Amino acid sequence: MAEQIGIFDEQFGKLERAMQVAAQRQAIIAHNIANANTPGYCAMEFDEHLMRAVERISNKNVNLEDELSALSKNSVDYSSYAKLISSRLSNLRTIVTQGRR
Amino acid sequence: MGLNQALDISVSGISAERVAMELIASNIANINTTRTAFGGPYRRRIAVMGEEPVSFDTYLVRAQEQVGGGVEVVDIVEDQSPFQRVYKPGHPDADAQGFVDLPNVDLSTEMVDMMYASRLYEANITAFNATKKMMQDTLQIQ
Repeated sequence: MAEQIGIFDEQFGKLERAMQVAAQRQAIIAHNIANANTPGYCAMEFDEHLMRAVERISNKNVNLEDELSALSKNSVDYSSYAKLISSRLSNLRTIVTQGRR
Repeated sequence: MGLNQALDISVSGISAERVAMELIASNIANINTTRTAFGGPYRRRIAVMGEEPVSFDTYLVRAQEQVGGGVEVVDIVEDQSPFQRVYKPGHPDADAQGFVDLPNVDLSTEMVDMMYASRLYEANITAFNATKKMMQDTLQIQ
């Protein structure tokens, strides 16, 4: 996580962390989709609190629809975090250039 | 980490489904094969998928994440179900009663398996593209 230095407030650190979590969740979803045809495989999901993948208890097999919807949601989440960072950076840029650009 | 690993996992899924498709193609192509290198009719082949084991090095790195390395074809097995016995007295491989053992390949089963493998192949590609889009979004931060 980025340290809080000067003009970068803690929101940057939070967004960065959120992007890391989304990237890890992406790997887990990809893993579930890849193993959709593996006998005896238990679907996994990302536990925000434990910060690691855990086996999903409710439905044992991989549900392809669930995984694909989670995939697009995760992808959109990630894009919005990236956009938020961009817009914060752009705000800061306006401030440091005193609104000239 | 994260996104690169997700790409590798999707690629492993894509190649595993490709192997499954190749076996299905081979089963359909050999639906009437009565002579093989091992003698006897062709036996239907199935790909057995398994979670790809993680090597020790990557296991240390991934100790906190606990995600495997995707999927792999752990084994290709022959279906041991009985051959179809068809009455074809004129066939050179017919037995004394005029019956021929034809491969235990059922076209409808193969077609269903093929649809499934092809959908899973697409699903893995979708996951790959989503990850790629995420990587591009990261590069767009400015």
